[in-house]
Amino acid sequence: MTISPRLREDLLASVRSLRAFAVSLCGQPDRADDLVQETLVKAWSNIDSFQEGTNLQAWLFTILRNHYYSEIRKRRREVEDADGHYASRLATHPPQQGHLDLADFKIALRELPDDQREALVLVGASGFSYEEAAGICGVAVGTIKSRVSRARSHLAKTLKIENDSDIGPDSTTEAIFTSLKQRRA
Amino acid sequence: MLTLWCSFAAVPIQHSLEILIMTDKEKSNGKRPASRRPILDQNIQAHIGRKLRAVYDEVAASPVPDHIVELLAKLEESQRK
Repeated sequence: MTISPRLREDLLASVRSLRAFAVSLCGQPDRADDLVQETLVKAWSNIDSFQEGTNLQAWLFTILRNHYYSEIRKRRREVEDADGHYASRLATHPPQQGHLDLADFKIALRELPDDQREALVLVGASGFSYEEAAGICGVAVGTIKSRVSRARSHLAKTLKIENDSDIGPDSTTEAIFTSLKQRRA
Repeated sequence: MLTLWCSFAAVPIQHSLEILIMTDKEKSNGKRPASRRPILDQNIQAHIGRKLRAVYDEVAASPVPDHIVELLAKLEESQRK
């Protein structure tokens, strides 16, 4: 088993977006880092099955996603045995960090159905094409398109941005609104 | 009489065929007629896109934690052996 310097570089470069994707899946930064570690170990031991020159990032995302959902299934079985111990842990919300104006968006994003959030993140943030996202999730391209579209409508509804006037024209206006809100508080 | 019956029957059959064909077409390009599909304004889509990337980049732009960097180093080491 040999890993070319190019492949190693790509692997390192993918870790950042892999972490962001993991957080979007599970909502917990610590758990996300565990997922990334487990993914890297799996990827490394299966590197022979990866065809160099094809999309490494998509390959890693697929491994992480499959691993995450199989863990969830495993945990769900454990939850049934363990008297709701895991269930209470799974139900805790992730700590909110970052800018004030992103807090609402994060909550709305977390409230999306898993399949919609995942499709939206893959296409809208990770930069995958609809085709690549379909490959990662193991569904048809049309399914991804419809999930992304439903996710956007869902977010627009939750965040009450159903028409243009609900959006501040630019970030400056947003900043003014935020400072006004803070002054009032 | 038969021709009359056929011409009556042909209308709904042709109509339902059209629907079938349309549905297949829609499936292949993932589009639905505007009346059934809520199309969001471009600006709203862009707004959601910006927020989404900002949330994503909070993690993606932050440094990779030490334990992950260490793990990668270990994996590389194991490869050399």
